[in-house]
Amino acid sequence: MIAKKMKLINRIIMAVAMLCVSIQVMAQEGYSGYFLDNYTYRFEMNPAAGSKLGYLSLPGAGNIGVSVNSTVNLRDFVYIKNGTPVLFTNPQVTASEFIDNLPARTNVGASTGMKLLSFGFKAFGGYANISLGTRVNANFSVPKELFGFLKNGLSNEEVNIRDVRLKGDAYASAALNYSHNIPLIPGLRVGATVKYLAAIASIDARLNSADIALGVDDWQIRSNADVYLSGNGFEYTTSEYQPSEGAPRRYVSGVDHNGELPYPDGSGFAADLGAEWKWRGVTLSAAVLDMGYITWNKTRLASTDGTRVFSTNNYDFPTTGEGDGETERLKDDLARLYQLDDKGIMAGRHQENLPVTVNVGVDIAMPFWDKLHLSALNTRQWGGIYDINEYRFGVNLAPASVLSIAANYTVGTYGQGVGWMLSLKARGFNLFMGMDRMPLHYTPQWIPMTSAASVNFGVNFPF
Amino acid sequence: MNKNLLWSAVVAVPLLLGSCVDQAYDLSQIDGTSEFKVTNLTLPLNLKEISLRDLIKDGEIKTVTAGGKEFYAVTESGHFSSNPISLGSVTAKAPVLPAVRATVKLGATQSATGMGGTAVAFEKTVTVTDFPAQTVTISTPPLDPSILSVTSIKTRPMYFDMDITAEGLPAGMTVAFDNAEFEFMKGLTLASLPSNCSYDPKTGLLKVSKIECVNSKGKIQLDVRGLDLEQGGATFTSSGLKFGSEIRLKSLQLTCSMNTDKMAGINPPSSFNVCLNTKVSDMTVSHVSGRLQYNIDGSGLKIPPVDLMSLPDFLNNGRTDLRLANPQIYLSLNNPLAQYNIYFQTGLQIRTLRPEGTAIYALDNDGVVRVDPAAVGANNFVLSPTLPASPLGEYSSGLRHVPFSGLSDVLAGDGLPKRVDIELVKPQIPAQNVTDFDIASTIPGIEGDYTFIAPLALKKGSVIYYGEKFDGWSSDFIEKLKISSLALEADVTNTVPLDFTLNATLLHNDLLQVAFNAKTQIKGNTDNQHIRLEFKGGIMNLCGIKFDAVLSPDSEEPLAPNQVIKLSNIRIIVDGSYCDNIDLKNVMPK
Repeated sequence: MIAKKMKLINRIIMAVAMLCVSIQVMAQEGYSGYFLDNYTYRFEMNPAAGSKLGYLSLPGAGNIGVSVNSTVNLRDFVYIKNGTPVLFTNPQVTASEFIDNLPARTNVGASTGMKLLSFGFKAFGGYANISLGTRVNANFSVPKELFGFLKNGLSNEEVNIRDVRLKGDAYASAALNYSHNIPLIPGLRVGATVKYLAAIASIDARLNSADIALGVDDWQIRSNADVYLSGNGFEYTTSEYQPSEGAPRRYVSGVDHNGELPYPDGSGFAADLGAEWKWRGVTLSAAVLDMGYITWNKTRLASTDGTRVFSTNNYDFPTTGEGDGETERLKDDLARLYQLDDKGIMAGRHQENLPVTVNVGVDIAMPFWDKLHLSALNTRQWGGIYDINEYRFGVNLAPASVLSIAANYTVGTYGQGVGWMLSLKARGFNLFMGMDRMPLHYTPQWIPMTSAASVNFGVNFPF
Repeated sequence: MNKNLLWSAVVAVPLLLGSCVDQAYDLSQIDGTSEFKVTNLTLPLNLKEISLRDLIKDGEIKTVTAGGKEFYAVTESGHFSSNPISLGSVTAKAPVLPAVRATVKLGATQSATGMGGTAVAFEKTVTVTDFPAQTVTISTPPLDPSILSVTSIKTRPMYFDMDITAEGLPAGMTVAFDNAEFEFMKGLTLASLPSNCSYDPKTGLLKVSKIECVNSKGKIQLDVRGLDLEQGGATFTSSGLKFGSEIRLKSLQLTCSMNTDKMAGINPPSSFNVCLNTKVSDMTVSHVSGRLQYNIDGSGLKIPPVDLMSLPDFLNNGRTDLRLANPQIYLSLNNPLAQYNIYFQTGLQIRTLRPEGTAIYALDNDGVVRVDPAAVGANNFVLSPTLPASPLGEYSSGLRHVPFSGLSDVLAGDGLPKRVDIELVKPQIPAQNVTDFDIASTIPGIEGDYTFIAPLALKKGSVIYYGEKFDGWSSDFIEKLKISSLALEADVTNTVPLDFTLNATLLHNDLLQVAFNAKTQIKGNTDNQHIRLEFKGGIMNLCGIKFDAVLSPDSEEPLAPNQVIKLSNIRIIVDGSYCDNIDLKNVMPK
């Protein structure tokens, strides 16, 4: 009997594993609770998720999430050589050893989300959520070539550093979610969320190209960059550069805020669509999130105005020591490469599409114990400064109606990791906490060696 | 039981995983050694061509243009002038001649009386021949010693005033003088003799056919303007001119007339005296003809020294042997003596002063610059080893060449002379015959313009040392540089007639101790010569670089501002690394 059960478990695990080859699992904030029935905020990952209980969130603390993700980790930059940790710049670390380990792009993302107030209740035969929240995102992406340049050093090669991107934004949202069973198809539940977005601030710095061609006959550097700055009260600070010839020029040296309240300076709309189908202990789930846009009323542009080119062939240096301005002109032109012009407020409104997220997953209740589930989830995101693709394989356990526990393994854009969630939910009180990515390894100084960390926490009051 | 085990496992696994500490990554022991490599990096560099015009500051060496080309040259020009030419006139004091007399005898004057006591006219002509001679001696002070000999002179107007007076005549008697004949001084030049006079300078015979008489007094005046010394028997010595002679009235015809009145007892005298009184004025000699030799002098003839002080230091090196390529001295002289049809001449020499002594460079064969009176156009001269093909324009008219072979080597020697003087040697009017040379007037002095042009070239065997050191590079950054190899390559086009041997030395920070050397040679007058300076080895602790250039002439072609050294395709090739230790241990949490 036990042997039969074990055989069945093995088959299921194999099946899930094989499924996971094609249906991938993700890891994002709260995603450890994607298939936990008593996780209050499932509807944010799939609007078709309902709940047996209504709830009211603790104002400001219904769901607080902080995540930091990176496609590189400590091991990519610190190596062990002769038993001693060394930096990647150490001569014992070969260039290929370092560069081959790096992903094509180093992407670093950080985000925080906070529910100011959220309210869920049964309505119209289904379930509805009304929530107010804020979100702050910051993402950074650089190509591998930049690190290759640092490690390889200078040689007569061409290094094309493209699409270095830093993007950050902050907005508030008001969302209305509704989900309902579809009677015609037993087990099928669909849902949708509409969101109104109030744009607060955004910066999008794009180093479109920084090409360094150190030829034998000519050294050329090309730069092309634009920075979009949106948000009420935000403006560029400028400094003055006095070239050796001609009038002084002003260039963007930073960003400042003039002290005005950061009231919304734009708006947007987004929609989430989702569906779940439960059949004999198997739950199939799919959702498309954040189909929408944000429009900024005023966006300030700083730009190189196209591609700026620096070429050593443009300079003939004097030989007498009495400079005829060539050295100064060279300095001027080098400085010009990175000095962005403040182009002022862009004409019209600046619209940005939101990154679209697609979640596809499966959850299977163990036939020998229906409180134990195995799950697989794939999350993909497009439209951000880089794409995300993550797979999450989980074990979900709900030994009692008030307790749900999830543990999962994730692999994807940010590498491997483990996550977990613990949710206590009873009528009158709900506390959950979890980590979509929990650092597995630490240095003796407790510095995480893994590439990402994500924490979620919330208190709500079910009714 | 199984459920409990599974439950325990689910809870424990994440906790166990989460507490995994990798001791190998003890960042408190991290080695922060970092290396930034530079791998055979070629830095292309464009340098403007270096011309001598860039290296030699304005004013350090002057330039001249000859044959359409501009050259560096030692050049001086200016003006010189002598004192005015003045010999000075001399004046002989007038001699004083005593009056001489002769007696006129009329004989039996009564034979002329009329009858009855009435008045009768008396008239008688007699010739007197026995006047004594008057001695005349004239001596001048010494003439200017430049006057070697005199054949004749011209004087300012000198007068002989001869008064003839009949003495003791009774009232009513008159005497007229005619046909006087004198033995006078020979060789005189008389001006404007009246028509009734004649004078023969050879014989000294002076004839006056009609003498103006008033109240029985006759007057003869001679205006003397010159003297032929030979005819006049005059002598010229260093003491002056001297001549002596006699003036004698050989014969004089007198016509005596009066109205006699016997009744009143008025009769002509039987005899009376005739007096000759001669007065002579001073004699001032204004012109001389003869032989003259005059030394031209004056402080204005001194030509300022050639300025070599502004020449750049690299030419003043102890082993720099400068050659003047096709040197030329141009002279343009006037000839204020041309009206006298005489010439003057001057020698010229260059005197150089060096610590070891003085050297004199003179014209070939003790030649001189001779300014002829008959020269057509300007008196222009070029003093040079050979006649220049393209002489300076302002001197080209009527240019005459005076050979001066030694001029090329005026600056030759170890380094530059301390002083170079151009001197006119014995400017003079050489001894020559002159005619009517005005000694009373001041003749303007000799004036001239000069231009000394000497394109600079380096003699073979010359060596110019040029060193430049760039140090003080020590810094934290430099100390962490380790250069495996450093090379400089370039294609050199060199139109400067100099071979360069370039030695570069990288310097340690240890009191500029020599570390690494690299050497290359650039040929003079070369086109696209590839050079490479290379340092190899572990070059560390750099604090500077020192360049030593040794320049030696490739030819004796003059240096020119447009001669260039052009470095093209310059490539600096570096291989090495920058090593630093990033101190992370202190920033790591314990």
